[in-house]
Amino acid sequence: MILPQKFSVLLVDDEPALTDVLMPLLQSAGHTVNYASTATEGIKDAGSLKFDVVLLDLGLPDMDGKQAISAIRASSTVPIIVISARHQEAEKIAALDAGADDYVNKPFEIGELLARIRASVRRHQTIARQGNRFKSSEIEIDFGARTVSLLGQPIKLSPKEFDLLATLAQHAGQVVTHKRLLNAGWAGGTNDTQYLRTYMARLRQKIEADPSEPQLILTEPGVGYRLKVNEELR
Amino acid sequence: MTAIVESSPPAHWQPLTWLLSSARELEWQRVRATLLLFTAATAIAFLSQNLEKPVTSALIYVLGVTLIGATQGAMLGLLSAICASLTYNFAIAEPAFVFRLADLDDLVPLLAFNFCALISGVLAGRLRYQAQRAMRSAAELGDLLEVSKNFQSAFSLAHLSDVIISFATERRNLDLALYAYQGSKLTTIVRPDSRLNVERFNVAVENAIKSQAITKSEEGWLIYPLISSNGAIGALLVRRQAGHDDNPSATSIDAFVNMVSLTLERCFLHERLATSKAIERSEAFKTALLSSVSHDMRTPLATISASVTGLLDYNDSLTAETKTQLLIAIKEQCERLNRYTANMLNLSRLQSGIDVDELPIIDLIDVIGGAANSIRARLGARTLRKTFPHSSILVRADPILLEQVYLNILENAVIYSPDGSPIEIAVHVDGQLVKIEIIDQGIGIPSDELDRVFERFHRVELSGAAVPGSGLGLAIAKGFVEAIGGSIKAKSPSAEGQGTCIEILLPLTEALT
Repeated sequence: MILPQKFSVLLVDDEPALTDVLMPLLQSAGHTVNYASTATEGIKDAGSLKFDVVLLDLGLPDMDGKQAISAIRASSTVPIIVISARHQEAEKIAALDAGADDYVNKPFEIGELLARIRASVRRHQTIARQGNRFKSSEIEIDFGARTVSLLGQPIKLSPKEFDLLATLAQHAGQVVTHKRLLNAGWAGGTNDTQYLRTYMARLRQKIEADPSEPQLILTEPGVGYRLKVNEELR
Repeated sequence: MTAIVESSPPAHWQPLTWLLSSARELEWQRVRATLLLFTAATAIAFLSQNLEKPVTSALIYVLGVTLIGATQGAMLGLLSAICASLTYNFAIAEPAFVFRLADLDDLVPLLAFNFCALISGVLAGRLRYQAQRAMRSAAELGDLLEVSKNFQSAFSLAHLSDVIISFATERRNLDLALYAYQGSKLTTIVRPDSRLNVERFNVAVENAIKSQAITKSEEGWLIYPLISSNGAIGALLVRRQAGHDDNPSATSIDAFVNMVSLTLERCFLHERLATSKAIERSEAFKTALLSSVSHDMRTPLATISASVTGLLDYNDSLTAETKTQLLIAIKEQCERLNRYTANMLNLSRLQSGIDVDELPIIDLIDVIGGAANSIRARLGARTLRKTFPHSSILVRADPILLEQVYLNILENAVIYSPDGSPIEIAVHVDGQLVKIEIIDQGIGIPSDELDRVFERFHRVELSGAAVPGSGLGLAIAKGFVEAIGGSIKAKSPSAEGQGTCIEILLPLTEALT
């Protein structure tokens, strides 16, 4: 399914140095960009106009990032990507738990940002369509039949391994927190990420060419995991 | 420090202390022993008398009484002396079994005997008492020496408390409590019994300290103020428990109080010394940091500035190739600045301390793999060989910091080795430890610098070439690895005859079953 590559973006950031560069770059990638310099303004814009994605800087002066996310979520399911600094795992997890869909760490490469925008928008639209298949250049998953094939060859996964991979695939390109993965694999939940780590290691053994340098199931240190999808740039 | 003389009889009773003390010792064992000795002496004396040896008889009797005094104490000595006199007069001396003096010739030896018996018995007893007292003093001195040794090695308040508490409990007849001034607040450092509410003594203690005199307080407590060269530093409360005879003497307690005072002063001085040393280190670190920032941020910024202004001002006269080159240079310097910032952040995290228990359990292979992946872009023609075991290796660490540690070491391997040479990462599990070796075939490290490479801001001299590293990488590696209970060392040349091997040992965490 080919999705439109031109999105309507709301950029909520108070640093002109960043916005002066991001806006023209996003526009030259084909997107339309609206801009708000405070959280309050951003929340208002998100509520009144229709956007495909919101880019929210976590360091806004007038409001805590989590509060801003909750406020936007109160009236909209628009995908939210937070712009955060490295080493702030707790803040990122809190933002994701509050309803954000993904994050980029400063400093980031523009290609990374664009890829995550695409991933979040795609997921948002896929939910609406309730698809039951996943296909990337390496992996194909049939959620209904619970089958997986890697580079055309079917592979055997245990039920838990399948649930974990399926969750990652449903958020393809987006970060999935430890918590969400634990809830997906262990109904009733467990807080111990060590179980998760063990299963992820097993999954990597089955799927990755070099499990110690994974190319498909990437670790987001301190936060969770991400299923990488190769896509054509622009 | 004035001594208090207490729990001893008033002065004019002094000469008879030894007698009274031995009177307190009267118990069945002693009486029985006395009777035994007395009976034996009487029997032998009687026998000697009958064998026509009256002098022997008298001497044996006196000997017997002396022995009783020497072994059983002055009181029993006195009693047996009196009994001996009576018995001798009556049963042994001529005429036998009659209380009668035949003539004056008999009187003198009789009196002499009585006198002798009395004095020997009593003096022997007194000697015994004094010997006992001397031994007790010697024992107390030995004790104090022992305690003094313990105090000598106490540099912290916790250690001092331990010594005081063990002194009190080893002699279970003393209650001790220590008050000290921490800042301007008087706090209890040691309390004898957690049930005992020592706070109510606060006022009494403060008064005692102010007056610098030993004061009696309620419930039998004595307050000894502790005075140092800087004034009052606290007070020691002492209470003898009732019903014990072998309490330490007043002089012993005085000596103990002095030792507490000296040690307390030493503990406070030690704290202050540690603080000022920490401040000194912190200042030295700040200086080194400033000079590092000045150098390591300015250099990339210089490149970026030159490239950017070149592109802006001379756009028309630059070839497309040159422009791309400049842009790539800007990108690379940005990455370098980013790495430097990450290292600075990590360094400051290390400085503020790491709580190992708060760290998550992570897979080491994950982390090393991440670092390996990051370095691939800069390998050039160098090869990277990985020797990893197949299973997960669980350690307790911060994943971002640990990945940065390996990335820093791999960067060094790249920087200091020629293009095209191999770099190896080998991971082996050995019992409770995991060994990680990162080996390059580069220029190596001189043997006198093998330890120094881990110092902050240290750079190995590369003849001629500018050293691209900031000198922080290995320092952070060492700081973090040691904080999580591991060790790191550099070996050069490596096993293959040249280059460097950085070896890290980390403790394994138990896997979940």
